[in-house]
Amino acid sequence: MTLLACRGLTVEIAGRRVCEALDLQLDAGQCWGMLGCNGAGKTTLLHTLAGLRAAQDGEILLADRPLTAWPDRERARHLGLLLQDNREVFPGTVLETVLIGRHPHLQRWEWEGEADLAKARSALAAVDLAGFEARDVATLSGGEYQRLQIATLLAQAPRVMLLDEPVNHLDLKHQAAILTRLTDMARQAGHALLMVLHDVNLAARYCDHLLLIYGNGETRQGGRDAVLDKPALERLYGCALREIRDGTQRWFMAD
Amino acid sequence: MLLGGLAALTLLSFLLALTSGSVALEWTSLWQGLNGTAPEPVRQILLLRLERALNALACGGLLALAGALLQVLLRNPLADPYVLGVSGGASAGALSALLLGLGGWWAATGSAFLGALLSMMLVFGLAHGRGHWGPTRLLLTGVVVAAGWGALISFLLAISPDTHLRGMLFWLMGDLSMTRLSAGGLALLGLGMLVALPLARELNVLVRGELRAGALGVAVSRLRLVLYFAASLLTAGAVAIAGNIGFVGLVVPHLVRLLGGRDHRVLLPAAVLLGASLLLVADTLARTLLAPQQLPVGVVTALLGVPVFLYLLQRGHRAGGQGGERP
Repeated sequence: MTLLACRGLTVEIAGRRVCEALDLQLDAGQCWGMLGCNGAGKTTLLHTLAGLRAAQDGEILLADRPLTAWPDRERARHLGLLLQDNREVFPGTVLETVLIGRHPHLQRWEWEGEADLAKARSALAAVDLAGFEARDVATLSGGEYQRLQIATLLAQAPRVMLLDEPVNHLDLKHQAAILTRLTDMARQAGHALLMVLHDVNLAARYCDHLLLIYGNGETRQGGRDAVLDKPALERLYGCALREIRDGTQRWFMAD
Repeated sequence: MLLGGLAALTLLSFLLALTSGSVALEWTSLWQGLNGTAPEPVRQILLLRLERALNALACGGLLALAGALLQVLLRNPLADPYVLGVSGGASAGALSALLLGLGGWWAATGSAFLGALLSMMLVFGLAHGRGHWGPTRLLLTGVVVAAGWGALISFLLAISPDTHLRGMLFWLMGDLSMTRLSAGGLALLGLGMLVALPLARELNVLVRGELRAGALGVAVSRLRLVLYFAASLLTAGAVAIAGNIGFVGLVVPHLVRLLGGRDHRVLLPAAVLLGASLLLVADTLARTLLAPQQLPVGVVTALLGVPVFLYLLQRGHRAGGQGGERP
């Protein structure tokens, strides 16, 4: 089943073409990784797919229905976005912040109930933030705040998650734990993920499909093993890479 | 609980405003005034104080609500109702009326309101110009327009005859002694609450970032338009009634946050109540401290608010950053 798709999508930012006539299809249970250089337009494409900015051409379908035809809150119950950079300006606790993920599930005059609190708490536990409920968000470290943002997305519980650098600021332990959690959940529940990653090796390990953004409008996509080869990555990043094999696993690093 | 406490505080401040003054009234006279058995002079005094107290209540509420909305709109803790130049336009309008000798309170109030509307449309037109109006662009436009009004106000003061100056300065500092029209302010406050309260949970989301709010299903552009016009109209109403009463709109929302009201469903009504109380107490002090001389109420709000705010800020720090870290 296709959860999110785009057809003939052309996206530009500041006169630069991010993608041209892109056809992409995120099916239930798939985990996609998006790779590309700094400034290639990965975030722009992600925001476009989330409906936060208009595309130059083409259409985006969420559950076979044009994204623009979805009412805002209903869309947010199906499609969620993790932002790359966001800091709080006003004080608030961790629990208050994660509860805003429940916003699209509540009616105008409805207050968060026990069920919402339970979902918020289990989302916090899922990112290893249990016990942080009463902490002021201003006192969190960068990695803790990143996990709080992921917990907010988990509390929102959309079927399609678009994640902009989900492992930003995370230590090794939490990189593995969070990506395992997100991808396992997507595969078991039949959800779909599309995440921007800078670490090719994390993408190779956790994603089953890849989308490469070259920064000149050109893109390449497909199953992980078909897309992931040294010449393609060297052209993508514009630098020489070294490939190390460990059994069936391949590792890439800049030479 | 917070709301109940603040409602009681507002009621107490209101009664205090009615009973104290150059002629102190006993609580019994207040009761007689209510059931219509008070002697005529007492009735007159009560009526005058009632009108003034209702104005103070309305202005305090208007300013606090406008401040709370603008802090969300601009996503900036330093935003207050005057930052976008609405009060500058109002002041320029009112001072022009005073200078032209269009005597009477109505002329000044009407011109102030017109000036505020003009400034509101000017800032919106300039900031919205080509369709994109982020908080930074709006803030910069507002600040620059406000600076322009400031220059115009100085110019008006410089060319005014001495006989007008005292009235003008009192107007600029914020003064409730000449006011009428309590019904208008209260109606505007009620209308503001009717618009703002249904949006309160969306404000909780918007205050955490526009993109995030958009991703969580908030219609961000529409919400920001509503916030801008609501906050501007509330400010215009307050300034037209009582001139520039500083400090209330900036500090009251932060006071409520420091008292634990960070959820806008609580913060907005709590700010209205606290703003009303603060202005009621400040105005009562303004007309009793140096009686028979009256002080501009804006001076008193600042004198009252600064120590209270600093105390709460310190307490918040000592409590380990439960909201006091970055007000």
